[in-house]
Amino acid sequence: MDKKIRISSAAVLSSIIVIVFITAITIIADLNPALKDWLKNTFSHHWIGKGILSVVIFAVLTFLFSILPAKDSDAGLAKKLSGLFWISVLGTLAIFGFYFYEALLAV
Amino acid sequence: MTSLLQILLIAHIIFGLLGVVGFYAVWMVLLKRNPTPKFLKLSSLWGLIFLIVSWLTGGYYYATFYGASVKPIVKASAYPWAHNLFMEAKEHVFLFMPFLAVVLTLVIWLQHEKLNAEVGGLKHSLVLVAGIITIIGFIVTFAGIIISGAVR
Repeated sequence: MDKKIRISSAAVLSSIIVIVFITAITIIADLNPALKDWLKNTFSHHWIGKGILSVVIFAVLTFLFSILPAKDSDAGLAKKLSGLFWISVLGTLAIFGFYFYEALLAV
Repeated sequence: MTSLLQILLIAHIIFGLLGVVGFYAVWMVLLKRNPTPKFLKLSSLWGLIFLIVSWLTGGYYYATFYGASVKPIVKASAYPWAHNLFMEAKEHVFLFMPFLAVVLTLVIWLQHEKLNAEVGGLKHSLVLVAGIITIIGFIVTFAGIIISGAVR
């Protein structure tokens, strides 16, 4: 097994999960003041909390995925990178769409 | 605003732009038939380092000053949407960038020997990731300009 492919795939997969996490916690915390308050009380600021949690999730998942057995290939890594691109596009649209609705359409 | 916060805000903008320049260069070089691995490695590392520094400097300014002193001015202005839409979206979409940058840099450093041959579509996928980092960087920069305009 190519260790370099294993680590690369683990990092890409972890970043996909982290971007889904950032998108979800951004929208959910804005709709749920209790979660936003918890982030603020625990990390001093909700945005700092989201950043720290994201870094921790990325580091832990990258480590776990890199030691777990899995079939990796160049084509598989390329597919994961394409998935990362599309998740980033969708996450960006979801966050801008959500705040567009909240700022301009919600009454 | 204190001198330290002014310096941090300027550093956030300059380092952020330098980071985006690094990833734009990666994007353009990856589009070439025979990209130079050494250039890709250095340019992606350049982008990653400046992006992280921009994150830290901007984050300190945002968490300690923006919410208490700038946000109320923007929300009371004729352009409250500058905060409610652009700042809210910018601060969260920005969080994607360090992870995208780490992954792009890591893959380039670990897989650079495969970039001159079309191995499993790897180069094409890296083009997409470098492109989305650059585009998100432009969007975040544009949102920052709007917010700065609203404060004035």
